[in-house]
Amino acid sequence: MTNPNDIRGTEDASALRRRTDPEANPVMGAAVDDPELRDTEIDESAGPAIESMSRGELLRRRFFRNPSAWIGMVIFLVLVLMAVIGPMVYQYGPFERDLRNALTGPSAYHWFGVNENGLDIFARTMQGLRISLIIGIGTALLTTFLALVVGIVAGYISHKGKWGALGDGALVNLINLFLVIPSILLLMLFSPALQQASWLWMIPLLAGFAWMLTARVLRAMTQQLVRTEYVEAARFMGVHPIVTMTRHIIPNIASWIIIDTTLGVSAAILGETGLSFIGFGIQYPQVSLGTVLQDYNISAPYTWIPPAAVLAALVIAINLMGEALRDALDPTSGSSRI
Amino acid sequence: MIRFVSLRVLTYVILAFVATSFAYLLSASLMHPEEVLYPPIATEPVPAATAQMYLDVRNVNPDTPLFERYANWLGGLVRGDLGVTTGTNKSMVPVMDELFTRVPISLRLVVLGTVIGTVLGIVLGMLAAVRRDSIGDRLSTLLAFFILSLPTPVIILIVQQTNQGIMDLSGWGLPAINPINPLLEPGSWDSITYQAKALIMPTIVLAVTAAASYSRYMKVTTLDVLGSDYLRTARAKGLTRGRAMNRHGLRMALIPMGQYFAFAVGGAFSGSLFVELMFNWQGIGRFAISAIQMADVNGTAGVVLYTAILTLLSATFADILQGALDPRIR
Amino acid sequence: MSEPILSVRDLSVSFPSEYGTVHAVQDLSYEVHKGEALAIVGESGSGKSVSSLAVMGLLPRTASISGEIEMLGHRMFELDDRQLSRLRGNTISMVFQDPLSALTPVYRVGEQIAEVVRIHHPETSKARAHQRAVELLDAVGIPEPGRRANQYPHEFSGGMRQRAMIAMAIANEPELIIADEPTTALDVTIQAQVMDLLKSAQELIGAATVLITHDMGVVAGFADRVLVMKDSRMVELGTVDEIFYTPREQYTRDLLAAVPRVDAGEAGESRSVAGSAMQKLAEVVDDDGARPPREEMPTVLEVEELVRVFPITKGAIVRRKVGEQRAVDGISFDIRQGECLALVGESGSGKTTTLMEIMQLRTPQQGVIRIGGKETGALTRKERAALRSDVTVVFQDPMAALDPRMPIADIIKEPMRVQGYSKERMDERVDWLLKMVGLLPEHAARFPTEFSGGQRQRVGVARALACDPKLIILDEPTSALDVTVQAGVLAMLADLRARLGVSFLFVSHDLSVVRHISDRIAVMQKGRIVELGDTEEVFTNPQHPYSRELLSAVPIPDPEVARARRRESIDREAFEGTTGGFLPDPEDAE
Repeated sequence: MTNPNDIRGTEDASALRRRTDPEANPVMGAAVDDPELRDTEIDESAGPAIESMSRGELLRRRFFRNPSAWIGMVIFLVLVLMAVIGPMVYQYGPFERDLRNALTGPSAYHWFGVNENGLDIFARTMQGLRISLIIGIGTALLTTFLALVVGIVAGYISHKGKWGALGDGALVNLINLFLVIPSILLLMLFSPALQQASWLWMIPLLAGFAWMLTARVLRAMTQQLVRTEYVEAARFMGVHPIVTMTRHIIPNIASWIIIDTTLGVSAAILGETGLSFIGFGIQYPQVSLGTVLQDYNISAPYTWIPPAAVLAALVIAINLMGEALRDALDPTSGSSRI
Repeated sequence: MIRFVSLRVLTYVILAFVATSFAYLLSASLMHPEEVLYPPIATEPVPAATAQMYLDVRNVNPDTPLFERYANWLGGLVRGDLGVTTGTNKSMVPVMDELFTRVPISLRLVVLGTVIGTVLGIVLGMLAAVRRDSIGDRLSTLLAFFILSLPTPVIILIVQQTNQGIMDLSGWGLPAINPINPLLEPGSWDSITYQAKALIMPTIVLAVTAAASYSRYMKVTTLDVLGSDYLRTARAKGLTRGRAMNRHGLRMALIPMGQYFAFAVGGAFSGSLFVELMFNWQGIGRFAISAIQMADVNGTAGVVLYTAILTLLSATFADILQGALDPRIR
Repeated sequence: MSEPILSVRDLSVSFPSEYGTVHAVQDLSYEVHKGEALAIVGESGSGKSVSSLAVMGLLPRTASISGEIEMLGHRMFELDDRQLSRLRGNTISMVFQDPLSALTPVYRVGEQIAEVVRIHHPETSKARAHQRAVELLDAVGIPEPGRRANQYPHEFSGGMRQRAMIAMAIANEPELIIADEPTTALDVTIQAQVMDLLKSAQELIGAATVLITHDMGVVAGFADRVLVMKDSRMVELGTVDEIFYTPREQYTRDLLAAVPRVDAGEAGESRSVAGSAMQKLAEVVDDDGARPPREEMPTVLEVEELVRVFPITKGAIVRRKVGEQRAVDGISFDIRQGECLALVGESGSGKTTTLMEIMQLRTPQQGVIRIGGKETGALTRKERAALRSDVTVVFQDPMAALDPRMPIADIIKEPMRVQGYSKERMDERVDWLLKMVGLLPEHAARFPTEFSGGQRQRVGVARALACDPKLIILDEPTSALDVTVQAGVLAMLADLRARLGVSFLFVSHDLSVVRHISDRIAVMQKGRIVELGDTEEVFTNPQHPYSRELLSAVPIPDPEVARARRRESIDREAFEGTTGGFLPDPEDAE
């Protein structure tokens, strides 16, 4: 969903603005931020130790030093293992009815209890976790791919004459258009038609409405990079534009793309769950965490707390990893400046 | 300033019009009202001529070319007529009437939730940035992080369950669902207090989600401002840290918030959709769900028009605010 | 000498950072006496700015500070923010480096100046404070101060904003003004005016001044005493004459020797150490044997009546042309083989546009560009690709010109790959090129971030040399570098030219740098070349008034000469009579 409220939206917009608006740039906020100062100090004090540490190594170190990265990874791995093993060893399936035990709490047989319709909540949660994971990861990858192609091409052509500017302008207006219509409405329109074919259609559907914000940021970043002197130098050397994009532009935004894809997984899971919850997402014979939540009953908290907790743990784990990545990449970013 | 705003408004009007037309064409081609006309439980088949007339009156006849239907709908739009509801009910309620009864219910939620959430988020975000690394900062940042990691239905369930728990313990609580109590006499004091109490939980849900994202965003912009040269100049002039922030920093930090606010109302609509569904409010959100379920083309287009106008208004408001704050764009 | 108004004793400042503690300032001690001008000079990273922020009490909270700063009996480190605020803007004031970002964009300039009056004198009425702001704007030489006071900072030019900053700094007649690189972001003619203004303001209110700068030329004309800093420590402290004529420390001598001088010709008679190294550089250039006269050399680049006009558009939906900016307005020049032509002008003069037009290798809007005799408009795609190896460019910013994600070997190979060199040949050439620009072939596998600014600029030159170009366009190649590093890069360029016989088009705003390297010089103003001639000719006998103005604005790193110049200009003003402010304002034109 292109929901401006999701976690990515806020950070992107600010990152974008920080990069584009020179007035918002903290030029000399702290002397520590002064690259010159830092540079000279490195050369003298730390010498070869730092010199031999490549950027990737530095990122890895920063990432693994961050406890939230570890917490996120552990939770995520546990959940993936549960999703893989859970349905294999558990005795009930997600649609097996045990009406005699309807609306009973957790027990040795029904680990998370049984809902009003006699369906086992643990079985449904695990199955839903599987589906949500597949949809989340698939959507995030597809979203990134779409955004990458559109964003980079638009960013690259926007300075290339009249037609470039025209194409770029069309794209920007398209993105704005999608911001005016809440994407949830459009998803609700498309979903029933596509669901009849296969639940996997959910992936392109969600991706189709999620790439816009990412593309907009990628476009801005590309525009920034196109103006840098090394891309200009490549142009003056006669390097082919496609080579420039793959050799100069994509490697320089790769880390941002990885972060965005990570956070995109959680955004996609949230979107899918919401849609399934109101009945426009995953349909029978599949379950997602959203459809499990649908059967909530306020007077019996065990009907909704287990799926909600699993869902929350999943999204939190992914977000923790994403934020840790961001902090590793950009220690001065807003979420955790020094 | 006026020139600037009126230009922007013109852009938004065009954008809203294109969005609504797009939504109409999309729903008209994707949904099949003729299928739900004949529910399987119908005892005898409807005569073809009657069916045709039935569809024509509602402007949803699939035999009429799509663009002709669109033209009809456009003609209605100009006259302020959005057509009638279609789908399984035969009552032909004008979409306009439906919107008029439902918009106040939804708007109450959206406006209250957004305003409280925005103000709360801006204040919290700024405090978190100014008192960076204090306990308050860590707590609010962590809280915002968790709230943004939860889907709206789960937040609603948590709020409802908490209310239920308090009710079980103390015997006193807020009304669980429904915005009004039909048993109470309309206009009576009891009825009004009930309505006010019923508003609390939905507002909390919307305000909390809005505040979480605004506070994150505000923290980032405030941190940028804190590192800026002009704030250092202000302090070099002899303003204390706090006064420099109040006089020079706050206004600068608010400027970029405007553009964000412009499109956040769309997000508030999604939020209110869940709230209306789970608290059983008969607002636009519920109408949208049922309209799409019943393949109600005119109803769906009406809902999109409502959201487009909402976005248009909030974007205009954001522009005016921005124009007032920032002389550079006037 | 009188009692010091500011004394700094054993000041040390350090910051925590990713790579351990950064010592920004170590054991710095100095005093400033009433009415005196102290200059703190150093290259980037020497800690000069941090030390002044420490005096203001404006360091970030992460900084750990030791030592003592005493200002008129106040021990600064014992005061809290509120007490410090009472001093800031009243007893000490500060002028910052970047006038573009130092003023709050959303308040009128007049309001911001009035604010500083009202903070410290709350009894002043709003109207009175505004009136004072207008007076101050008038005093710093801003025309129509009444109208200008009601404008916003974005309506001011860079020089005017810096004037407004100075107005703010002198508003409460402080005892001490700290000016942190006040002219670094400004053009040379504006720089001269702002420095004069600062000097006059200081004399008018009798304030002591601490000038922080990297520019020795500015120091010579301004300071009474000079403090040289290097790597967070003080190197030398002495009177301006001592430092310039008899420096005690080797570093001071090196720093001065590397300063380019616009008066290179007469520098032999100067007692100042400044420019001695650059003098030798000039000799290398002149000594490369008996060259045939330039008319006999083949032409590498020819530009005839080049015009580039940018439309100024307005309107969000319907773009309409409201005017045009003639960025390049009919310029002509040519470059022969082995020659260095300098294109000099201030910001906005059109020199970068000219350069871009040449590098595009397309048909220009008007005029003709010929490279090696071939017209760029008539090239086929293939010819154009081949020609890319003949004309290469070195950019201004060594940080931005190299892709941070590529090892430098790949960076240097990139143009060769386009031209289809074999792998062996490329490896061979990378080694040779690195040696050529004074780097080690072992460095080839390293990434640009592991190099200093000067080394990166050398990599940039190596890349430009990769395919044996006929012409290298140097776009301000040394303006982002420290002066000692700049001297090294310039020497390397001079050497390359002598050895490889390649031609340079050297684009620069800095006349003194150009003097040491170019054969001929073209002065650009508002898209036109106002003067074109041999370097010696232009420097000793400038024909166009703009060239003369530019030349006289360049600061000379020799205190005696600078003082003589200043006396001259004061005499001239006294003779002509000043209008309103301290200075007449040639900036009115905008």
